[in-house]
Amino acid sequence: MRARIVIGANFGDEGKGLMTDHLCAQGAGVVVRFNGGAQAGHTVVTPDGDRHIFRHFGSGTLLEIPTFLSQFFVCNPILFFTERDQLIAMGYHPVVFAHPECLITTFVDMLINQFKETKRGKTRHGSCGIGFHETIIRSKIDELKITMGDLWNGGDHLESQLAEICDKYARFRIGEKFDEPKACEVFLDCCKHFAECVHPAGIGQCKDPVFEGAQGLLLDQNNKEFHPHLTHSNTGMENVEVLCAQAGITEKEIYYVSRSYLTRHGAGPLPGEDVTLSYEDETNHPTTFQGAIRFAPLDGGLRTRCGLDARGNSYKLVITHVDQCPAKLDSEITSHGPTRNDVEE
Amino acid sequence: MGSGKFDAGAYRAYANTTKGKSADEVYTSRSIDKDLDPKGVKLRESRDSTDNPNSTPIIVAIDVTGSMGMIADALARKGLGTLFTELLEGKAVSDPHVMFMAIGDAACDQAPIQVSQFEADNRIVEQLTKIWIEHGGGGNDSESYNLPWYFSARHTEHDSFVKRGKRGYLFTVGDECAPSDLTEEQIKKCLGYKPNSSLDSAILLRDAQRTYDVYHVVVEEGDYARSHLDRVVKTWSDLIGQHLIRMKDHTKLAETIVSAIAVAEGHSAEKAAGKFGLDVVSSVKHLAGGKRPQLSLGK
Repeated sequence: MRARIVIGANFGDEGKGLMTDHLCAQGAGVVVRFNGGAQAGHTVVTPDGDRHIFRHFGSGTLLEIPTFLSQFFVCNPILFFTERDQLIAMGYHPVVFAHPECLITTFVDMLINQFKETKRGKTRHGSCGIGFHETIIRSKIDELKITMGDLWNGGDHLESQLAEICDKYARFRIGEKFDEPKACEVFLDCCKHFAECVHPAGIGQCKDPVFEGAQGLLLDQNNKEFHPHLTHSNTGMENVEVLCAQAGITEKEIYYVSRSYLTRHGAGPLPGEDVTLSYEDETNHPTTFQGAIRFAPLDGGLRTRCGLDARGNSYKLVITHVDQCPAKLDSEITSHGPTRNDVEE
Repeated sequence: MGSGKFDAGAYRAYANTTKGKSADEVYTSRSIDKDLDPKGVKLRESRDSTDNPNSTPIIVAIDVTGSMGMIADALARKGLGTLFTELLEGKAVSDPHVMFMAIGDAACDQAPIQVSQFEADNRIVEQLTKIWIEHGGGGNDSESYNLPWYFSARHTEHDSFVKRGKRGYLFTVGDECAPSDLTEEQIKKCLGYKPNSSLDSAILLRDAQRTYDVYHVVVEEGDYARSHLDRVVKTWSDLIGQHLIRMKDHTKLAETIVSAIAVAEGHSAEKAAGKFGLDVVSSVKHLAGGKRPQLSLGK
């Protein structure tokens, strides 16, 4: 069985949503999210003019392709419903499956994350403020770890876990507790509904998958060059290899995506940053937590980086946004606009 | 929404009190009833409950413009009762949750769409009396049959799909041609907000089909259909294909819908509609085998 894999080659914002949608339009069974969480922001624009930024849902959703959230994905029930409401208002009713080991982000993780990032002031890490990293830290404490499987099993311990997280754990992380019984009640309801809307599955049931990576190779947790301005996940092939081995997939086609220039959204160094460069960008408006998007010319290390990550699998380089800036690098695929019809192989 | 079970006895009592009255007497409204006004409605929901653990949403949207007023009457006084009783006793679908819509013409009517709640019992009958039969419609050759598609895709949600990946049923019923589009102004007039752009009927249909199996019933006795039947049938079969149902006798509306659902659920047309007569069998025969696959992880 084949798997197609979309991976960002840089700091994110490369065009992974566009490429995933393009591959799905050629036929696919499911889109698999294999890293990160709802901090992703993958834009898809349909030829009909529908536009959505995917965070918790796979970028095949506008083509009615279901999403599978693998065990490497961190679920955020609150943001799931925010995004789901947006999709329903557009007339889309997404179908989502998940692995029972997916971690669950609570509202407390989001609050702690925002509190800490605000306190960092000028030394911000570039966080999105949605509690992704906080969820992983908290889940290292067995008693406080909450998984998708727990929610499906009725979430019996959830209420007491949440009380502990609001009190002792919050005091340990930030020195004060959250006394928010109403918020806890709303969150418990949200989790209950989440368990009904997301269906249990495993990678072995996924037919003709498109793996959709989040963030980019330069933000990988093992890329020490840019510490601490990284994401707490494997952004390249590492998780995909694990999933493919579990599913018995041997035929892998990787698509590394880059814009024809480099971008960085959020704190952290951008090699070759050029403050005179500016390109139109509808997705990346300045936010409280990440500031404005910054630009640089494409770096020479792109091919090397992709080759190293591919570990011998065949891959194609995809250069997007060539309508804004001509590509200075040869690539197998280019895109000169925002929709799947603008992609040329 | 959608709690309680339908009580066939209560329905019969209601039907007797309204017997012999004309459509205008049963539906005393002279403007849209606030309970049926879709303006400002975010979501109408069909949820599972202890009484209805496997709910199946069924939306029936009837044309209440000039020539079609009598169909609304027949549906309320006989048709809907038969529809409920048959669905419950015949066990064609599990735990039906029925929603009503009344369709006019978005181009000229004051209330081009009226929408009930999803109900699982005779409360739906009480809501029927609130329908305002505007007797509108205009010089164009179609009514706004695409408004129910728009509303069901963007403003309804049901556990049948969310929890079980099983689509609901959506029937529109009328005698005129399929409309070509909905404009931003028309949507604003009905729902109170303006979307980004006008929408083609084909797109609206596609959106509704994500969570509903969508059918259209052509009422061949309607004034418009009687004089332009070929034209009506062509516009509909071009748009909705196999899911077009032609109905010769409007008093058989409930029987036709019950049979269409039974066929979609896997019964043969003869088994589903035989007891209702040959006309109904021939109306639904072609629907067999057209079922699309439900929620899954691959194609």
